[in-house]
Amino acid sequence: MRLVCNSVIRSALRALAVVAAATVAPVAVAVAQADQAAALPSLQSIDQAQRSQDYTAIQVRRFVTPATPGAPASVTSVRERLEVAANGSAKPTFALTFLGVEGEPAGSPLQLKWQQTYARHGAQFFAHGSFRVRDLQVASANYTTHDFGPVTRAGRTARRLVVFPTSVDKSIWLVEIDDATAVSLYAAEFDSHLNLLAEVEAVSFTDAVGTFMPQASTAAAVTDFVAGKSAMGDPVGLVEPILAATSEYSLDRVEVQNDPLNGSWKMTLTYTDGVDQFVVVQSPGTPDAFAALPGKANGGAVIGRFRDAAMSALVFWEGGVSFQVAGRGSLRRLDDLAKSVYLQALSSN
Amino acid sequence: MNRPHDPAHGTPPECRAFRASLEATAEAPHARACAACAAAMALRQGLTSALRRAPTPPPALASREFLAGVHERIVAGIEAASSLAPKIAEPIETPAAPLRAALGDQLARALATPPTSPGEGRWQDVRRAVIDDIASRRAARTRIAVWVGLAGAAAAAMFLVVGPGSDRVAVPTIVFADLSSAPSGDFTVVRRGADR
Repeated sequence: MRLVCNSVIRSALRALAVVAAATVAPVAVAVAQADQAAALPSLQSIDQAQRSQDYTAIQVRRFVTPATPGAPASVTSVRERLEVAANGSAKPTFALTFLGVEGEPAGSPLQLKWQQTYARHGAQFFAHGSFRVRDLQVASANYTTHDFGPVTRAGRTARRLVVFPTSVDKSIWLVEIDDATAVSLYAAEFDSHLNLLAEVEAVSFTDAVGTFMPQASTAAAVTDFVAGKSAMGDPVGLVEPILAATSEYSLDRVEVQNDPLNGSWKMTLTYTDGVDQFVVVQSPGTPDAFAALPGKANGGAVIGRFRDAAMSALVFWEGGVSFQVAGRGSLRRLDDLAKSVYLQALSSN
Repeated sequence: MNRPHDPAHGTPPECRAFRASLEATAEAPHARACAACAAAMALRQGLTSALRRAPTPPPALASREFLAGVHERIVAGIEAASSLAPKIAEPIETPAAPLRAALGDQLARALATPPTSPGEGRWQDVRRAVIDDIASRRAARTRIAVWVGLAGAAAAAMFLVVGPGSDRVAVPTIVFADLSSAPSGDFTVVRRGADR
């Protein structure tokens, strides 16, 4: 009788153990997966790091000039120091300092040329030159992220991430995000044919920043188009673009700039889909470079277009104002945007 | 010798012609022969010399009390006015003695006497003219409204008939001209750096 009871108790305990294992195991797996997902970088964690993380990085920026029928592709690698002091916004205080062109002797004319370029355009290299989450909400709507596992970059552990656009005519980004800070240590930009267009690679990284002089810029940020036009003295002929062809982009920033040499004004409207950007630049009082073209001389409307894999630039003149619509090369819809802006300019003059 | 001037028989024609002429003076031959014309010439010379002098207004006319009285009377008259017949014609209270002394009794009395008010017929004429004026303005406004309405209808018709067609014509053809090199600009530098 006792043996029968022991056997029954053992069977019951075994059954309970099986039930417990069947119940706990999926929960444990789910918790482990959740922990792993929480550690993966995302657009949200990158955006948060941009707003809150100070750091100093020595990095190499590679400018790629795509091949043309007459010239092969070329790459120029420039070493730079980036110092960032977060200020809670998506546009932190920073300084980008030119250190040298890779493989070029110090003091050479090319070094001096690049040094001058950095002094003048360093702010734009930081703001427009590489991967950033410029608007988290619209970036989440226009891009998906795909994890490609752990890597080591600049002596730090990071995760490789592909940021893929939901529209096929935009750049694809491969980024490596530092595990500890969620700062991008590497960013490479590819077109839809997987041609490399630009690259920024950190070679050393410190999650702190000392005292530095913020990057100087002659451009003044204003709130919107009307404020910019007013700051320029309300010149005639300026146009506030209507974004029909590129409706997923929205206005990111408006800047006005006065050239101290000739006193001419320029307004730059920058639009973003959260990651990608294009600009509409308007300069009043600029002589029409196309006036002598046969099509323009006959009263027609001509848009000059330059396009390669890396960039598109469309230029035209109307009403004494020069217009330039420029963006990354794969965004061919900029043609339609330029036509739309041209028609707006024609109708307003 | 001219016939003597007898007022009972009226002024003789030669005397009227003499007095109307520009050469009529007390030294003229006719005036020497005609006592009436000589007296008229003497009176004329006296009046002429008197009129050449601007009379000195009595100080009382410039007194503040006098001007205040005029103002009060005008205001009271306007407040009490109930018809177009003006009360401005009523005699004003003048400082009688100084005025008389300056202008003479008869002239002062004439100035102080209210002028004859226009007759009832004149006011009816004025009333009729005002009514006609208002009626003509109303007619002009009616005509303008009719013309504005016609012009609006014509513009709407033009828009409906011509507008859509002209829109189609007005859209210019935009052509793209490919450039062999990237235009200068900040975005070009961002993409190409200093190599361009």
